[in-house]
Amino acid sequence: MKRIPKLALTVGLIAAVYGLFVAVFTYILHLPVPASVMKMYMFFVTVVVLLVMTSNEDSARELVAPLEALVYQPRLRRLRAAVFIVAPLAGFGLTYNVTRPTLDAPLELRTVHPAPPNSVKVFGKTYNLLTLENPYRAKEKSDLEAFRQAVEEGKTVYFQNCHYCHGDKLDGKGHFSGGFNNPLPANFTDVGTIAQLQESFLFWRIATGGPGLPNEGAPWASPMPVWSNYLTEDEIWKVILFLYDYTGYAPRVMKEEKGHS
Amino acid sequence: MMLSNAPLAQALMALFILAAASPASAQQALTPERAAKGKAVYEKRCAGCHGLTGQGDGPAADRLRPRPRDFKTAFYKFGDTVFGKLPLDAAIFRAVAEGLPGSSMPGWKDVLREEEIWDVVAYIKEFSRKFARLKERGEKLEPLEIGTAPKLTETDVQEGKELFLKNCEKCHGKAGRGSGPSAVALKHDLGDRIWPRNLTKGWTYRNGNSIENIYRTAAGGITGTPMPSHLESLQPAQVWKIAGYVDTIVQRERPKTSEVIIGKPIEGAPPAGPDDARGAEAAATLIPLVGQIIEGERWFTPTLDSVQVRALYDSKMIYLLVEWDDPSASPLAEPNDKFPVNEPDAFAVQLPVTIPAGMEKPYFLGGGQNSPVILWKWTNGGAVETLSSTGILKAEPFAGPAASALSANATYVDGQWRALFTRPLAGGGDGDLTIETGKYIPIAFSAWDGNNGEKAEQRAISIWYWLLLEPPTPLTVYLWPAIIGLLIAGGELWLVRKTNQHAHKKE
Repeated sequence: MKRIPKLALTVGLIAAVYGLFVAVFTYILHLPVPASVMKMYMFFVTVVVLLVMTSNEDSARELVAPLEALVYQPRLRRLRAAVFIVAPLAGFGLTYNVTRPTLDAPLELRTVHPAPPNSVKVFGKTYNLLTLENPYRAKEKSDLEAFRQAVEEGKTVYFQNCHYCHGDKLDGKGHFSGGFNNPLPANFTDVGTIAQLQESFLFWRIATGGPGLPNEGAPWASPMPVWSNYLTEDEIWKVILFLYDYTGYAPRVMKEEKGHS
Repeated sequence: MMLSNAPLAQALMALFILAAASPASAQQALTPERAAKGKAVYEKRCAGCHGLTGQGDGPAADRLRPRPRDFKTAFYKFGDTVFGKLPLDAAIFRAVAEGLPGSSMPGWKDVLREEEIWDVVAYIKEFSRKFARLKERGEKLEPLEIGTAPKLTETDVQEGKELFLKNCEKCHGKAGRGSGPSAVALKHDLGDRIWPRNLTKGWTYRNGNSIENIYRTAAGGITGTPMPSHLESLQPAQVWKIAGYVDTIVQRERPKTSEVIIGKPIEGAPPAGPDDARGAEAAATLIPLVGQIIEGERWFTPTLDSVQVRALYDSKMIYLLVEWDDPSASPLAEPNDKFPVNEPDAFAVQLPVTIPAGMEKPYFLGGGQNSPVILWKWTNGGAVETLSSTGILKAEPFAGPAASALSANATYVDGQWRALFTRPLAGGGDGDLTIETGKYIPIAFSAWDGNNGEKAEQRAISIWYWLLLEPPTPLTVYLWPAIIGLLIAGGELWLVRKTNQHAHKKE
C-alpha cells in the first residue's frame, strides 16, 4: 500500500498550518498577524508536529530515514553535494540578514492625544479646560438658526485655514499632507479623533498648536500652527462646531457637570 | 477547505473593484430633479472651494493654485472635447469621482455614491446657461476622437521629439520641465497666472498620464488656458508621435520618500561641482516641499514641490547635492511686464547646532527660542551664508571657521537647479554643528521661487528628515554569519563521517 512518506507528511503538515493561518487572518479576517507572533505560533506548531511524528521509535526512524539516505546513499551523490554546499551558505545569508546594519529611521514614540493640562493661557486669558464649553453648543437646542449660522462661519474659517492639510473631506488628506506627513494631519472622520474628545481639548489643540504640545507629543515636529496668532476665540469655537457638524460626530461631554450649570 | 477560500475571496474582491471602477460608462440622464438633489451635496462638499454660486470663489479660492473651476463661465479644462467646446458629462463625472492629481481637487468616489456624483454633475451644469442653450439649439457635443495608441517605432519617437521641440518647447521647455521662455508670462483666460506642466512629473498630470491621456490633452488642448488644440496645426499621427516622446520623459509614479538621506563615503577626488558625475554615487532621496502656512505671512501657493537630495563625505568634508525643478532662474535677466515680480531664487539647508542625544529636536520651522538651528543659505546671484536661527522670522548671520569654509556652487539647466553645498565636517567652535558619521542628524529644507514672488518666510518648506553618514561596516557584521556557516559545514562533515563508520560496521 502506498503511503505518504513521513518526512513529506511532516513538512506538508507544517506548511498547511502556516497556509491556514495566513488564509484565515490575512484574507478572511483581514487581521494580519505580526511576523514575531507568527514565528512564535509556528515554533509551537513545529514542536507539536515533530512530537507526534516521533511518538514511537518506528515512526521516528521512518522520519529520519530519507535524511539518512541523503547522507550515505551513493545514488544521491549529486543532491548531497548540492545540499551540503547550499546549507552553510544559507546559514551565512540568514545570519547576515540579522546582523547587517539597518539604516532605517530611528523609532520615535510620540503620544498622539497627550493628556491636556488643567488650564491653558491664551488670548491673554486663562481657560479652565475642565469646565470650558463651546458657547455655541447650547444654541443647537435654543436657537437653531443662530447655530446653523455659526456652523457656516466655521466652515469659512476651515476652508480658509485648515483644509490645506486636513482636507476637503476632513480626512487629513489635504494637498499639503504629502509634505506635512510626520505627524500626519488628524483625520476628523476617523472614530478615534474628535469623536473621542471634548470640545475643550480641541480648543486647546487649535489655540496653542504644535508648539503648545507637551514634550511627549513632540511639539518640535508638528506643523500645526499656533492658531491664536491667526484666529479669534470666537472663530475657533465656530470651526470646532463645523468639524462636528460635517462629520456627524458628537463631542464627548462631562455628564456630571451638565446638571449644575 | 479554508485554504480554497482565500483565492475565492480575492476573486470576489476583484469583481467588486471592477464593478466599482467603471461607473462613468453608465451615462445618466441629467434631469432637473437630479440637479435639485445635487444642490445639497454640492453645498456641503464643493462650495468651500467652488463657492455657493459656482463661480470658483469659495472661502479657500484665493489661496489655491490652480484656482477652483468657475462653473459659470464653464471653461472646463478637461472635457474630452476639443479646445473651446463644452465638456462631456462623463468628463465632469470623472473629474469629480477621480479628482485632479497634483491640484487640491480630491477624488470624491470614496465618500459619494455614483448616483450622488451624477446629481452633482447635473447641478454644476446649471451654473452656466451654455449647456441649456446648446440643448435648445439641438446640438450635440462631439467627443474628441482618440482611438488606440499606434505602435510607435524609435524613428517615430525621434520625430516626436523634433515635433515637441518645435511645437511645445516654447512653454514646456527643452527638457519638458515647464521652463520654456514663455512659461513666466502665462495667464488663464480669467486672468490668474498659470504655469505649464512639468512633463517629467507624471503624478501631477491632472487628466491622467497614460499615453492616451497625453494624446488627448495634446490633441484637444486645455480650454481657457494658453494650451491650444494641436490638431489645427498637426496631423493626429504627429500628435501621437509627440505623445510617444513625452512617454519617454515622464516618470509616472511619484518616487517614494525615505526618511533617511544616507551619505556615502568617497575616496579620491571630491565632486568638483553640481554636475560632476561623482554626485550620482550617492542614492537620491526625494523630499516633498509644501507651502509655509504656519508663521508670519503665510504662503499657500508655492511653485516648488520637491527637492532631491544626495550626500557624500570624505575624511574632512561633506558634499550635499540638492536638485529641484523650478520653471525659471530668477531674478530674470529681463523681467516680464505681465508679472513684474523678480526676487532671487534661493535654497536653504537646516541643521541643528548639536546632534540631539534623545528624541527631542529643535522646532522644525527655523528652530525655537531655546533650540537654535543653523541654515546654509544659497541665494542666486548672492553669496552663500550660514545663519543662526531661533525661529522662522529670526535668522541672523553666523560667523565661525566652518561657516567661512561653507561653499555652494549652483547651475541652472532646462528647468532644474542643481546646487552642491560643501562644508568641513567639523564645526570648529561653539554654536556650529560637527557632523559625525553613524549618527542620525535632523535635516530640513527650504526653497524659494523668486519668480513666484517668494521671499523671507514665504517659501516652500519640508519637515525634519534624517541625514546619516554611513559609517564603514564593522567586521563583526560578517563574523557571526561566518561562524554559523562554518558550524553548519562542520556538522555536515561530522554527519558524513559518522554515517560512513556506521556503514563500515554494518559490512
